[in-house]
Amino acid sequence: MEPIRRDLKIYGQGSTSGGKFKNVIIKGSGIIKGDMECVNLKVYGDGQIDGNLEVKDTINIKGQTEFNGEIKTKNFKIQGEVQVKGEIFADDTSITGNITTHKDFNAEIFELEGGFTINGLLNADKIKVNIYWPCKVNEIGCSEITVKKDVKISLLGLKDMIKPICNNKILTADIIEGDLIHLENTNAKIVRGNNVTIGDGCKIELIEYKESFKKDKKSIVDKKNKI
Amino acid sequence: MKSDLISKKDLLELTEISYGQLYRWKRKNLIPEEWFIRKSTFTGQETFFPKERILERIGKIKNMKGDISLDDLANMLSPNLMKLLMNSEKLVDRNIVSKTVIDFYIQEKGKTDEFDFEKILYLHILDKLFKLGKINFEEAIIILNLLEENYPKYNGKNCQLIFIRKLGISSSCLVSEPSEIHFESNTNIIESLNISKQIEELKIKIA
Repeated sequence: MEPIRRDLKIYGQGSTSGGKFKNVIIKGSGIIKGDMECVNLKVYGDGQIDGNLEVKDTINIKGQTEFNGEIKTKNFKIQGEVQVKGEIFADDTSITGNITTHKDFNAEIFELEGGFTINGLLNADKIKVNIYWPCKVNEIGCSEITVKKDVKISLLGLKDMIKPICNNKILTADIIEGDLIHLENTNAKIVRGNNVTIGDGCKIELIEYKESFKKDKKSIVDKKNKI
Repeated sequence: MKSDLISKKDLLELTEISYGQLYRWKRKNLIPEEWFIRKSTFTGQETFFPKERILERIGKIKNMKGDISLDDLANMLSPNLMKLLMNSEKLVDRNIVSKTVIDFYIQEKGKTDEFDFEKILYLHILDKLFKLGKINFEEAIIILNLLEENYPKYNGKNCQLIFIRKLGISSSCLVSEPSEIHFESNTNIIESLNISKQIEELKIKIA
């Protein structure tokens, strides 16, 4: 029989070596120096996890966290800023803020409001992105993707008011592949899909599509092929 | 160079699957990461796959995905397609099967330098039965011959190995799953083993 799992709470400042827990809560600043397995992880404030992380249910981050290992989780909710060194496997991802990863990001649903830098492949079933800050990714593979520029009224728009120079709200990618593609404010080398819709503010070198293709007048597409 | 590789575009066309499916299968590990080979071409970067293996794999996924979930499929597919050869020293060194079983095999079937996954599986099953003290050497020959002759006929499908004894006479059979089987009351079922479970166990040992 599995031993009883206890909760881990860090209120204030603290560090631990990791292990198996039920609920892990960090309020303040906490460092976990090894691999950790838990049911729920909450970070309000500042967190750092050096080992691989396996969460059965939900990771909830409000604030800033640095993950130096691999992440496996069901739900991944971020409000704030996150850095991940390892590969990510999640079912349901919703991010308000900014995420930087050094490896691939795998998810079933990927919803983001803010910005991201993914050094690898973003592999998800459904992708929904509202761009507030620069987004960069090597490759995107999905069945459905919708990229939109920012919505007028939102909390994240505050940063623009303070720092109005932040004007490059653009998603940059080498390759975007999917069945249903809708893009705005995107710079890409290659876009491949069945149904491709290009909204305004896009610069795309090559589009390959199977069924339908629509383009806004203001966008630039160098070359398009129907397959 | 091109003959044994297939580009992603051609693959999707040939197999009639969508990007969404391909990427979903990749997420579920049904298509291993190593098969995604990135190369630069005149149109930019393209992804290629080893043609024969990917076509075989996608055919299998398409055939089987109606019956079981993708996660189960991922578990089932990886051992069956495991292509590996190991020599006897390595098997003993890594504690995959015991030396006794290998000696027994060589004594029965002649000198064998390298064992493929299927043979290792047979040895693993014999090893297990020996260690449980369920069978003796003569009975092991029965089981080994049975497995070697008949297990390939299941073509990777799951089956059950049943070993019986009646009044000191032993026999063994393979039954496809799921099925019901009944014996007369004097017959003792000494052991029944689920083969795909053994594959999984072995896979964990080898990995």
